[in-house]
Amino acid sequence: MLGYFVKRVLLIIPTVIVVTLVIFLLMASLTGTDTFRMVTYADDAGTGNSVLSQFFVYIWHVLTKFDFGVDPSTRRPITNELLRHYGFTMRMTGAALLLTLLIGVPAGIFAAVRRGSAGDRAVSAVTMVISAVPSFCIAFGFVMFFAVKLRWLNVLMMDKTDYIMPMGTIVLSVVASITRITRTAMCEVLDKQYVTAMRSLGLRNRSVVYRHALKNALVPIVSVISSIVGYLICGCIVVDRFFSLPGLGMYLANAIRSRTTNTVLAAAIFISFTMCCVGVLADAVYLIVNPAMRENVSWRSGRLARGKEGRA
Amino acid sequence: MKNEKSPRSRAVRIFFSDPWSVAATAVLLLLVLACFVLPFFLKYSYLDTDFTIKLQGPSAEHPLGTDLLGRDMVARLAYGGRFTLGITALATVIAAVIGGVLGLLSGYWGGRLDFYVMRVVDALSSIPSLFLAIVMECALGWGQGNFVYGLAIAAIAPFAKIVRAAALDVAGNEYIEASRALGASGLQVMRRHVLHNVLPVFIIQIVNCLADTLIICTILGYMQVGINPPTPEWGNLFHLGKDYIRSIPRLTFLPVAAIVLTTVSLNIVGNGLRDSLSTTGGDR
Amino acid sequence: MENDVLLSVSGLRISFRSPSGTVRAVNGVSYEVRRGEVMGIVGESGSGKSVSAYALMGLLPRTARIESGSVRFEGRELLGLPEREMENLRGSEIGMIFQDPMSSLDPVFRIGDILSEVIRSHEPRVKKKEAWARGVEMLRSMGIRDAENAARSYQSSLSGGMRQRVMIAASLLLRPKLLIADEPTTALDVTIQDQIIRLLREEKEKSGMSILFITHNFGIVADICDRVTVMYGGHVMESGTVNDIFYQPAHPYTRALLRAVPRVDSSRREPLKTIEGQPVDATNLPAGCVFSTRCVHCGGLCRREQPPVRTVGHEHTASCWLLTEGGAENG
Repeated sequence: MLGYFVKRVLLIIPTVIVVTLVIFLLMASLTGTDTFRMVTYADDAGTGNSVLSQFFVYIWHVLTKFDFGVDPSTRRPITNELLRHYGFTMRMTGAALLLTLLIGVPAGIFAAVRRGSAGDRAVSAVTMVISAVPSFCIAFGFVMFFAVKLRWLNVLMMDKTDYIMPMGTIVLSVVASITRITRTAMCEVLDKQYVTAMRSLGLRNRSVVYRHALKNALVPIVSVISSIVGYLICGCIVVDRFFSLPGLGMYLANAIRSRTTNTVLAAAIFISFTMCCVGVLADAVYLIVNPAMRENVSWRSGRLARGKEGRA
Repeated sequence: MKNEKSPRSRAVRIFFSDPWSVAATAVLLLLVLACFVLPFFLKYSYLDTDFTIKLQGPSAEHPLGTDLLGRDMVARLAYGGRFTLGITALATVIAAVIGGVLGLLSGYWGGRLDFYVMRVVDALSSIPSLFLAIVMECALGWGQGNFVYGLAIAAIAPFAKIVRAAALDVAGNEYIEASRALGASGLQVMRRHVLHNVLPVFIIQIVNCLADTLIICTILGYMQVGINPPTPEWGNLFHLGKDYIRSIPRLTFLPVAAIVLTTVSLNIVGNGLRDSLSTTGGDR
Repeated sequence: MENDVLLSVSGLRISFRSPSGTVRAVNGVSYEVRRGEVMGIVGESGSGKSVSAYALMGLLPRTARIESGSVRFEGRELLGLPEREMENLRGSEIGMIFQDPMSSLDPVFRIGDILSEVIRSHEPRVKKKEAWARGVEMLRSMGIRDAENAARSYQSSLSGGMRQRVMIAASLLLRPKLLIADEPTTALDVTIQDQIIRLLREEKEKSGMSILFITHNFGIVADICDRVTVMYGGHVMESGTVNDIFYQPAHPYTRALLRAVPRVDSSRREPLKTIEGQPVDATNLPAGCVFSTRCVHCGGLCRREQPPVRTVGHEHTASCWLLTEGGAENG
């Protein structure tokens, strides 16, 4: 098992490099101009070279000096700025993830245990409606309702309570996914023979559901968490702009407007890195939860907690 | 007994037996009509500014009022819908075609082609789609004409994976060997067997892609990426009205309502399709 | 004799909702299990034998509906009991072992943990160490040699035979008065089958518990059962002692079943005897006797009306129009 994790951790950097390469090449091929310089440096390195050599120069700078280049207009290195904004977004994402799990998983269990009943159908209807609404519309709804009509909350982010609306927006945009997959996974597990067998042994229903069934159902749930993080990050980006928060969203918007490929590329690296780490963490959680798998996993194994294709 | 002629008629029957699916389909058709046909009958265009009548409420002349430059909101919405829905549909089609072809070639021929293509597809799908679209837009630059390609690239990955899975599934089957032994060419085999196998999932993915891409399109419009004013786009309309969110909520509410209506309907249709196309092989 | 009745099922009717209609799985089934005896329930798949057992434990799926009937355990009506009471009953008064040992244990918990949880669910004051020790002891008495190690493993490391022993150990931990065995040996090979049956018999002798043994295998019935109930299409066809059923089968169905059992002494060239026709479709039951579509002696009355229960011997009953009270057969 140790070999497996070593392998996964070692693979993070190469994976990020590959992803960066793909994006780099795509961006370069789409811009269409021959002399387009992808990344601007303080010392003007890499100017006028071919795309591939520009890429290698870039990777070199990133890996050795942690230098993501400079902003072409101000000539200031973007690394620190980017880290600051990114850190803010990460904190929001983390908090949102926690909240989402705290709300979504119990809701999914609730629906699964009462499968087919009115409660279940209500939950399904609500999740479907929520998941169909894009995040800024949710944000709009929040603002309309809480700020305008009820006059409870401010939009100005003066103190802690003002984070309710942005957090609420982000959480709402992903909670439906978690609820749905929890419900599906729990339904599948509750149908299994060992659940009936455990009940017949006299184990209390509550224990069977929350201890035994849930533990078994955690596998698909944990798998989905990796992709949820991606959506959460995007949600944070949108919400940043809406509520004027100092996160990645604002930073990126400016970068796009001024066509600073540096920033966008760097952000892509950060995000890709985060998602890889989340993937490894998800696998770790999976193995903690499912000890029976521990013996079967070696450095040869592929990814354990695989995300689901398409919709849950 | 329930003796159907084909899985297709069974799917159609199941789909239309659900009132929600029918309602959602009707709503979508109405929206398409409103956005693509209605503009021909409108008196005002989305461009006609008239500062004298700006920010007016609903009236006989302007049933949904005017915006901050005096433009008719009905026109803004309708043309905005034309842009948003049109771009979304176009991007989906492009993604479906490119992704489908990639998946087909990759799955059917395998080997090194498959390996490299799948590395690229995996890399693309490991980035959340909104962000990928942002990245592509940044590369493509401002141009409105290029907007659609950014959206398309962000949507290719699932199509490639789905078609590849179906191709792999089929390529291993014995009836393929039999077909080829009987003289069918590779292309024919691909067309008949793989297509038939992949069609249900493919259709469902198209609907999902439409919904997801619509959301990304509106978000990008909201962030003013790839849209040149005065071109209306629902997300962009929202952004323009955002400053007046408290005083004149109508300006933001209308585009939001349009977006939500479309996405909810698309989701309902997607669910209905999933239910009606789900099993392979009938009731038992 | 009457005080010895541990379990009494009468007039049980259970149906299921399904996309193809209402499945009438159990239609007016009645039987009794006495203290210390092994009652065998015999029938083909789909005869409703397992369903009635699940009803006893309150473990029917959501799609099932108990239409009518009563189930009395030690005089107490089980149907309609609040879930809390059923939880108390399960494991401690009535236990159950299942057909497929490969999937009857929670794969993410250790065997020992499952066993101690069983104990502590009903005796909350017992400490973890003690519960674990009791679990290990039970495993040992089931013939699992390296019990300590087995308790520390997960079910994936154990063979089918061992898993079934673990299941039996778990179900006997709280010394239930009645054990329901739902085809516990069907999924195992013959040598293991024998060991399991012997194990169950030993336990029964030791503790005086009753067993409701569900099976389609007459060999096992002869081996372990005291009395037998034969079911088909959700109805009871015949019921009596093991000797009655084997040596004086009254119902045509029972006779046909016995005839179909391959014999060691039959000639190799003889074709195996089968019962003509298909098992009954539970969504579309015949109006009369449920066996009428396959019975060689079937008459007009059989097709029209359901036969009443007739007594053909001491504690020997069967449900057939061709029988008169006292045992002589018509036609």
